[in-house]
Amino acid sequence: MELAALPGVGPKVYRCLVEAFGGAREALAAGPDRWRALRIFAAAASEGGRAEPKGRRRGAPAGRRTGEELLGVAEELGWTVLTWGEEGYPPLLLHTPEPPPVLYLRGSMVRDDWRAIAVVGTRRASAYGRYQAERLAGELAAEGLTVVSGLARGIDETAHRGALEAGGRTLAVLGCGPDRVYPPENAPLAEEIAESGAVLTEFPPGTPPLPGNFLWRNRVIAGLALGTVVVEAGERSGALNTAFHANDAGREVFAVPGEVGRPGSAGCHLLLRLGATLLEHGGQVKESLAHLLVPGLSFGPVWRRGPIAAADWRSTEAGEEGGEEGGALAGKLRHALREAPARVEELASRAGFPVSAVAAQLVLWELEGKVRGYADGRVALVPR
Amino acid sequence: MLARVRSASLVGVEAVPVGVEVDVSPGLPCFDIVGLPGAAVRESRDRVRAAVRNAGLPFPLQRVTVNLAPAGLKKEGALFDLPIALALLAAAGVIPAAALEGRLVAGELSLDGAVRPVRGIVAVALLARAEGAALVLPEANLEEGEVVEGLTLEPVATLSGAVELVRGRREASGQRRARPGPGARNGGEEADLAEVAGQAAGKRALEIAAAGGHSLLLIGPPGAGKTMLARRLPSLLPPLDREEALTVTRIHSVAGMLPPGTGLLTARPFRAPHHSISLAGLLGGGAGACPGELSLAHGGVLFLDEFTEFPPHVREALRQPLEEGKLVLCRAAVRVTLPARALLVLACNPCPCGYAGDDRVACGCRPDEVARYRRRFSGPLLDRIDLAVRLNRLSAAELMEAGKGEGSALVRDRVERARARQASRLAGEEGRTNACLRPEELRRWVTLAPATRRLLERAVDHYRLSARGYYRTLRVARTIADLAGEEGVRPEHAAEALEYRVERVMGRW
Repeated sequence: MELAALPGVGPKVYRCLVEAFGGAREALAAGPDRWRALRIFAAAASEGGRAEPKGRRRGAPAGRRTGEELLGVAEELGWTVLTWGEEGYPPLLLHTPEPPPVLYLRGSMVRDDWRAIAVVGTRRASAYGRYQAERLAGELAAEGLTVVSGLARGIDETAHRGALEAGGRTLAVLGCGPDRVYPPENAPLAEEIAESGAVLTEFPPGTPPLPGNFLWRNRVIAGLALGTVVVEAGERSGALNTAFHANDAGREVFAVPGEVGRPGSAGCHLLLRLGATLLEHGGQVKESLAHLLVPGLSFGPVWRRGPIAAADWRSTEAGEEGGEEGGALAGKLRHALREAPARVEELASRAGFPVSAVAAQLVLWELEGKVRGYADGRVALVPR
Repeated sequence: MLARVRSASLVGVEAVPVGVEVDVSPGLPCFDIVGLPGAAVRESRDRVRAAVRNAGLPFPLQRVTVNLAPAGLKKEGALFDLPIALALLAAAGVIPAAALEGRLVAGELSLDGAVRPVRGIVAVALLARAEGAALVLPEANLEEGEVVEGLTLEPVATLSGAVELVRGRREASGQRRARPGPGARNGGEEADLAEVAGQAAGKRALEIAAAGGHSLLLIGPPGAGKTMLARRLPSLLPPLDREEALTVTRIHSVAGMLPPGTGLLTARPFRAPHHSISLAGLLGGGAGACPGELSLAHGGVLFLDEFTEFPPHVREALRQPLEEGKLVLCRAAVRVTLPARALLVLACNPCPCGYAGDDRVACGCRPDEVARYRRRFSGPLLDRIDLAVRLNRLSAAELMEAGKGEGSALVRDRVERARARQASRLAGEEGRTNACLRPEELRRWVTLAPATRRLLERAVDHYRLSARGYYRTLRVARTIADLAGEEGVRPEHAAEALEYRVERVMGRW
């Protein structure tokens, strides 16, 4: 642990050291001089970690901390520590090019967590993207799969929520030390995830959420899962990075198509052109991974809910304003909403009713939890 | 010898009486003005001397002292030139001092003796009427003075003309020219709502804002049509009634914003100050507490485009006047109340680059940048915005629809009917609309059916509405019901009101 927390010691160096000396403890005891003799270079080698932190673990607090110290800090925060070779270390992650030597974990991982699918996407999510993320995460969770994501704003947080709401398991991988949550407003969500699933990070306590950390963390997200679903991504989105990590680790990459020409679709469409599998429903993941998801093994509890039960809708129509026009409006509007999330104006013209009436109906439905409005002006059905 | 004439000084949008006393006594020739004259008044000395001489009148080579009473009030403006000159001539015995009695004089002099127009004539005329005096005013201000009825106006074009007038050699030109008939729109041709393509939600919000006097926030990417919509808001408002028109004209007159030859303003003002405006420019200020943009927009529309670019203290200064419909300016020497009941329309982009949530252009902002940008709207300010609507850029097909929608006249008709309903409830209070309903009035006028009540209870819970946000919803719902011509507020009215709440456009993207 102490060794892994040293600046400049990444998974590769760590592996070399451990293999050369027969263990982390032995490697530490041997000291930098002997490392150098073996042509294993680490920034830490130059005098007890005083050197400029460099490489992937930028921004870690300077100074060397012993394994006991790190463990102490982590345990105080309610985290446990998993290292290579330890029982409980995610087996899928071990089979990636650069698995993290140490994983800090909050919550619990279960044996079945290897049946996991990552759902990632842009932080600048549109109503459509959020809708798809929530729906797919919910469907995957209902299939008994664990949903892995990065707790970021936008698609990530929506995916976690979708999985939680469907009663499934979800894992969140952080891009900073276990002593903080980034973005801060997702702290309550992290709590919720830790209760039923787990929050993970490879970064030692005190690591700030630097941009590079997130890209590096993406390989853990991809590595924990059998496949990665990219829901909405711009051309330069970090979600593509996750997809490439998944590909490097030999995992399946799925992409959800968007509207052609919309900026948030470009990344997904690029993946599709590169050979990713087009994904429309959660069930399709299981189809294409059927060879891995061996049937007969017990899955977690299954909450299977149909798309949108007609009965739920009927209750509104029979409600207070069950007038003739209200009914006709509700029907048309529901139909219009099923096509895609849309703005009030679009819905009004699709349904052929005035904006005022459509707006009113949408708010009534929103209060009933049937639709959700987004700040870009679009309204989407709440997936069930 | 001593002579006196009445004049006036402007404080805020009011004219206060000022007595101009001139004493001419033996001594070394000099010309002093006392009684807290401002810079323009002090310079009046030189203008008066030159004008009197150039008009071919004798200037007394004696000790001349001018006093402006009350001495404690700071006097600003050039309108004292003419009263000083006339009182001076009376004191020197050129004109009979008694002739100045019963007259109130205002006017600026040019060096050749011509009388130049001054600002604030409407307020001065109101004062003259209250004092029962005839008003001697620059000819160029005649139309402005004619706005006030029941008062003798004596327009003069030159100093010699004024002397002739008070000597009684010239008939007081009480003749009145034809003035624009009531309701004539002298603000130039207005843009029509039908020219705006698409934006059905924006138009609906505009209609509600016009009907209830609600403040409105338009948020959308560049080119979505925010300015275009806002500029059409005045065309949806009913014409000013006589009382409002007088107030509006008075404010513009005091600010010197009336074009020469303009009488009563009947078009609703539309003010769109640039975001580099100072606090004093917005609220008013200076020694005479001259009205700012907020007051100039009284009775009309104040449009603040690129609202997020306004300096923070200017943004926040809008909070109090927004609620009260008036503005109390406190300065060291003066404390005035300015009318400030304007329909506030704010426009801004959704993020620093402007394209968050856009269909075709990618937003280049980081989420934290967007969050910081949003924070420029403080909570208390957001709480006072009744309506918010997100506008989007139109597709080519939608653009082709221009000119096909409802015209302004049609919408104005509905707005007028909704306003009439409000007026019958709020009888006696000029210009008040649903937007200024107080909580106790809301309880009285917004009757909620049980279904509406249930809906609102749920909404308070679901959207976490603040108390102010709840009342805001009630006010907007009241207006929507007024537009629908209904006394009770039905659930769909309340629901539509909730659709336009400001959190809707400021939330997640």
